[in-house]
Amino acid sequence: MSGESDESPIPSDEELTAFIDGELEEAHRARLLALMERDPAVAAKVEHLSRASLPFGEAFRPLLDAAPAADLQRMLDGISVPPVAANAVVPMTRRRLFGAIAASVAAGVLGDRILVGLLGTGDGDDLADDDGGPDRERHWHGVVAQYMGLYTRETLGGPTPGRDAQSAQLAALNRPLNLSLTPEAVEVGGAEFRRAQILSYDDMPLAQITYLDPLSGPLALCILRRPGTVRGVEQEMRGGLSIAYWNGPDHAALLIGRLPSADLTVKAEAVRQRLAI
Amino acid sequence: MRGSGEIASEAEVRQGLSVTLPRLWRYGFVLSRQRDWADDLVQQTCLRALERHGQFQPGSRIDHWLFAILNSVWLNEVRARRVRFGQGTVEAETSLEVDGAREAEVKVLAGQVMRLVGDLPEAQRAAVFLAYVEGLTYREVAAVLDVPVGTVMSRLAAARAKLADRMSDGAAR
Repeated sequence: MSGESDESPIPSDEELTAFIDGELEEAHRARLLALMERDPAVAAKVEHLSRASLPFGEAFRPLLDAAPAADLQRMLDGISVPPVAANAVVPMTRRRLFGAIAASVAAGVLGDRILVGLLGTGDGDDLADDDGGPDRERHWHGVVAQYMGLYTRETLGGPTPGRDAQSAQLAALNRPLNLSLTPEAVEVGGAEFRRAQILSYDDMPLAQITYLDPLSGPLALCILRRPGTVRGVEQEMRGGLSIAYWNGPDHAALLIGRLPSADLTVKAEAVRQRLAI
Repeated sequence: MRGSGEIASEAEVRQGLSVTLPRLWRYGFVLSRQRDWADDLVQQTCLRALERHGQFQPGSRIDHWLFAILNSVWLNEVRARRVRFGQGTVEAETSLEVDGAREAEVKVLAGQVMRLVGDLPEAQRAAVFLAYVEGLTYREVAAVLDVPVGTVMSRLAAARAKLADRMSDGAAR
């Protein structure tokens, strides 16, 4: 306090803990050592805090063995990204079905592009060689369901972007998919908009707009460019998720979530009437 | 690393995840004190890490980056539960014990240490785990928890004082 006085304030627990942990700079450390020699109370305090220097590393090692390593690895393997170069040589039946490229639309720079993907391994995989029947047409539903199965409320835990941000995200979807999405058109009753991004399915851009429904959790509206017959809303279940899907002249769309089919269909019908696809 | 320079590849992040899975699970278990929550925390961490692999800086510690992701998933989870149930933090259903931990003497001690740590408040528990179990420096702990170094110091000091008191009381023998 006053010049070179050897009158030092009593070191705090923080200081002494950092001392014990070897986190202090040498000068600070030397000062505390000197103080401990002079002041038995300080030495006693250090001795007391040192009792908490337990064999932490050893004690927690059994938890590493308790980790379900094989299950976790399988889970990790289930989230996969197709190597771009390998796409061409992968046989049709085994081909990677869902390679997702999501642009960080907020930043809008190529460097921020992130790659997400899922290898279609479910029941739908063998249908890839079919000659275009309805199963094949709906194959992407299964892939989307598999991917959405990984989402929880926490995945979509962030705040709802403002209208301008929503418009900007949707604008990034509009060009590649030849759409004219607006925040109003893609509103899903009762659910909060979370994020719009482009994924890809079978090398085609796939619009994915996620929402958080306070009652049922994550929801997604997905749109694929696929000219065909216009069809009204139909429903199906995939992997425990409800899907309500419909077709416009140029696009196929679906709404997916963990809620009763009837409820989802009501929401989907409302979106269908607002959305030009 | 590869041609493109600064951007980490998805494969690098996947590899990092693969070798860190048990440690991530352990951190998830220490935070949540429940196995299925730990499973879920790791899954969410994998998903987010792969989604954001471009944000990882090659050459830096990927395990620390993954701990930070898991930590933020956990914090969001706690916040979500609070909203949903209108309560404080969740109660632990299980203590930090491992099956069969009572067998050998070493395991008895391990169980005691884990129990002592498990009794600490969540914020202190996380700091103690990262600093004393995972061996991170104060600065690294601060980065993972996204708090100032001073906060890490006060959490560790408070934890140390509490653990020392328990040891003096003979709580762990």
